[in-house]
Amino acid sequence: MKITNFLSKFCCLTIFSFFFFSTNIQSVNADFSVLTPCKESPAFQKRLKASVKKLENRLKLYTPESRESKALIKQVANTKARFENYGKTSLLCGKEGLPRIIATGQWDHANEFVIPGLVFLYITGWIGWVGRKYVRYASNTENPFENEIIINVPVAISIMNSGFLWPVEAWKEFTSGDLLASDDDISVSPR
Amino acid sequence: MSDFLKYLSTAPVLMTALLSVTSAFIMFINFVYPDQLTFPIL
Repeated sequence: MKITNFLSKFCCLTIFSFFFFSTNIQSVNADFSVLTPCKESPAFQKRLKASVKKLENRLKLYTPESRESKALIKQVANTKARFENYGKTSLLCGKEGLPRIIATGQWDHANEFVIPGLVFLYITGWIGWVGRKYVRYASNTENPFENEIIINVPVAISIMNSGFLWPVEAWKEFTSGDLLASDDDISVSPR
Repeated sequence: MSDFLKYLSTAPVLMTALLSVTSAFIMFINFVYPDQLTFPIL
C-alpha cells in the first residue's frame, strides 16, 4: 500500500519535473544566439592577450634566472594552454568572452553539466549505498554500536568495493520492498 | 599491536585517512589536468 503511494508520488514528480524542465529548455535555447563558440569569440581572444600581457609585464620586473620569472613563464604557458583547451571544446562564450556552462540537458553540451552531474550522483550514491550496507551489517552483529565506532576494516573494504552496481542493487531492493522501512518500524512522536 | 590496529580502525582516524587520500587524489587530478571546465569526452 505504502509503496504504491510512494510510486504514484514519484511518477507525478517525474512528470511534473519533465514538463517543467522541458519548457525551460525551449526558452533558453532561444538565448543561445547571444553566445558564440569560444574559439570564434573576439572577446575571448582579447582576454587571452590581456592575461598574457599582464603576466609578461610582471615578468619584466625580475631577472631571467630568478625563481619568480621561471614561475611566471610557466604561468604564461598554463594560461595559453587553458585558453587553447577551452577553444577546442564545445564551450560557448558570452559577449564578455567568458565561457558559459550550458546546463539545460542538451546532448551536444552534455559534457559540460549532465555527464559530470551524473558522475557526481553515481559517486555520492555509491558512498551512501555502501555506508547504508555497513550500518545494516553492523546492526546484525553482537555489538552494533561498537561496530559503528570501531570499524571492521576488512568487512568495510569488501562492502566499499562491492558498491559499484548500486543503482541495480537499489532497484532490486526497492522492488522486493527491502529498500524502505515499513511504517510500523518508524517511531512517530504523539501529536 | 592489536590495540594499535584497533585505534587505527576507529571512525575518526579512518575518516582522516580516507579524506586525506581523497583530497590528494583530487589535487593530483587537478595538477595533471588543470582548469577543466568540461568532462573530457565528446
